[in-house]
Amino acid sequence: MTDPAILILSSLAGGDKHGYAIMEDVQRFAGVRLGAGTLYGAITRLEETGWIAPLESAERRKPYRITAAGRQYLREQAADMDRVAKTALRRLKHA
Amino acid sequence: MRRWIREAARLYPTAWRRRYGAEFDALLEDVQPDFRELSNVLRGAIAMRIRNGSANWKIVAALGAAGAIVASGVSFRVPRLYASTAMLKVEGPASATPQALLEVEMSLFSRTSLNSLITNPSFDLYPAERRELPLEEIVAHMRQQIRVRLVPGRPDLVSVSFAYREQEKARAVAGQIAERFVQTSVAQNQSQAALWHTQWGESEPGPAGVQLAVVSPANAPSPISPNRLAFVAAGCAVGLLLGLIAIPLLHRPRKTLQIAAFALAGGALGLAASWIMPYRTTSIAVLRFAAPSAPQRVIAEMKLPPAAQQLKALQEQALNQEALAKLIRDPSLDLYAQERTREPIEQVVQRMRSDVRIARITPVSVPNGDFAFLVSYSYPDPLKAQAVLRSLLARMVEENLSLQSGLQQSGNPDLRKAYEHRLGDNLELLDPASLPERPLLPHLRVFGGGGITFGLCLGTFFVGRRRKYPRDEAA
Repeated sequence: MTDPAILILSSLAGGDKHGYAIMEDVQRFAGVRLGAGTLYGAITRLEETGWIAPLESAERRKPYRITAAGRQYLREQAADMDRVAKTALRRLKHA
Repeated sequence: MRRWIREAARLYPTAWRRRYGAEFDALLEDVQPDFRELSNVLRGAIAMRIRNGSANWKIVAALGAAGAIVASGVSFRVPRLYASTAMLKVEGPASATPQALLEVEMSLFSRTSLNSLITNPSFDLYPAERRELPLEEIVAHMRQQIRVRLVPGRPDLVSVSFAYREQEKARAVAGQIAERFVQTSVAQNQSQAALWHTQWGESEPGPAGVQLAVVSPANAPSPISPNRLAFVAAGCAVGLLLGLIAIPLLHRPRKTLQIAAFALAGGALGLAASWIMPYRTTSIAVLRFAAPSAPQRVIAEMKLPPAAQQLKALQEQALNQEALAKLIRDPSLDLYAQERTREPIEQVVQRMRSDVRIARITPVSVPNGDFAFLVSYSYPDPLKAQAVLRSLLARMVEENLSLQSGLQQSGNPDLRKAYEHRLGDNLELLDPASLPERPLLPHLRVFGGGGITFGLCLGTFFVGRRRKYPRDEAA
């Protein structure tokens, strides 16, 4: 699982975070190091689709939160992935 | 590395940086600065440019299409050329044909011969060009429009064609060139035969001559269309390039104006420089190395070095230090007067050498045969340019004779005869030193265009540099 959008949404599902915190979190839970360019490319697209939103902040490091639509999208994607993962594991067990 | 990453981050689109720039820069302060991060930021910038640049790409595409349409229109406006071809039949040994054609060509393609065609009142070729360009350039252009070729698969047929923008004239001139080909060939054959028999007698078998005859007069001219595909491709490329240049400029109209001001100033300076630059005129002459006109056994005894080697030796002799220094100091010429006051004579001689050009111009290569070469000299004063070139030519001819004088002392009577009667390797003047008609430099378009280009580069550099200072101060 290396889709930056899913990784960012997964990170924000655990709480609001700014860019560097998302990078650290993703590295921790997925073992994927997101580059700054990749991260902000994905953040731009996620914000445009309305799945994340910036939070008001006086800091330069602006935090983001996942929106309801973003949660819904992540839920669907996670369910799909779960179904695929379960199927794969079941088949592997019988192989 | 952190600095490079910061610079790479500035490649993101302006609108994107306005929204995310501050937080992105803050993130870059936190990340580990390494090459992987730099490459990631660069890829992100390119991706964002492509993603956000749809409007810009439309501009580029529109300009490319406009360039292609304009070029297509221009290609229809380019005057169409009409080529008329006459066919000549060659009789004689096939091995002698290239040499025979070459000899006729060198005579027909000379400045004098082509000038007589250009200024012939019944043809009156290139009238507009003659008002603007020196004769040398028109003659050179006309040479390119004449094609003499052996017909593939038919070694006994030669095609002679001429291309011109008026059909009737193309046909008339092609016919005239074909006629002259035959006449010149006949005259050369007669003259060579007469010379041969006078010098070597009837007992010596003379060189196998080649006879030419017109078998098919100049045909109805066929149009030679300009290469429209090349026009369209070039127009499209120019349009795309302009589009790529225009996009950043459209977003920064003030900077565009500043760069345009630099370009205008550069153009004006270039034009001013063209007036200050000293005039340069070029006198041109054409010489020919003629192969020996002697029986094979005599030629074998001559043990001649290759013609190119002889030309090199002549060149070295004619342009040696002593000879050029003498010419420079000649009171009637008084060359490089200003340079002589501030430079040693060796340096002035070097300067003069760089103003002399010697180059082979023979269109086809004939092994061990004749070849023609051009000698030119450039100098601000046209009369002095011509006078110097005449001196150089005289010196080359003298040197050639002195190189052969040793052979004249030979005990072999045939060899002595060959050199006494100049039947050995010979240097002939095809076109004497011309009196330049119009200064070749300064060329207003070259200087103006160069100035504009230089101004554009300088303006882009300065306007681009100025952007950095406020940021550095803020930092």
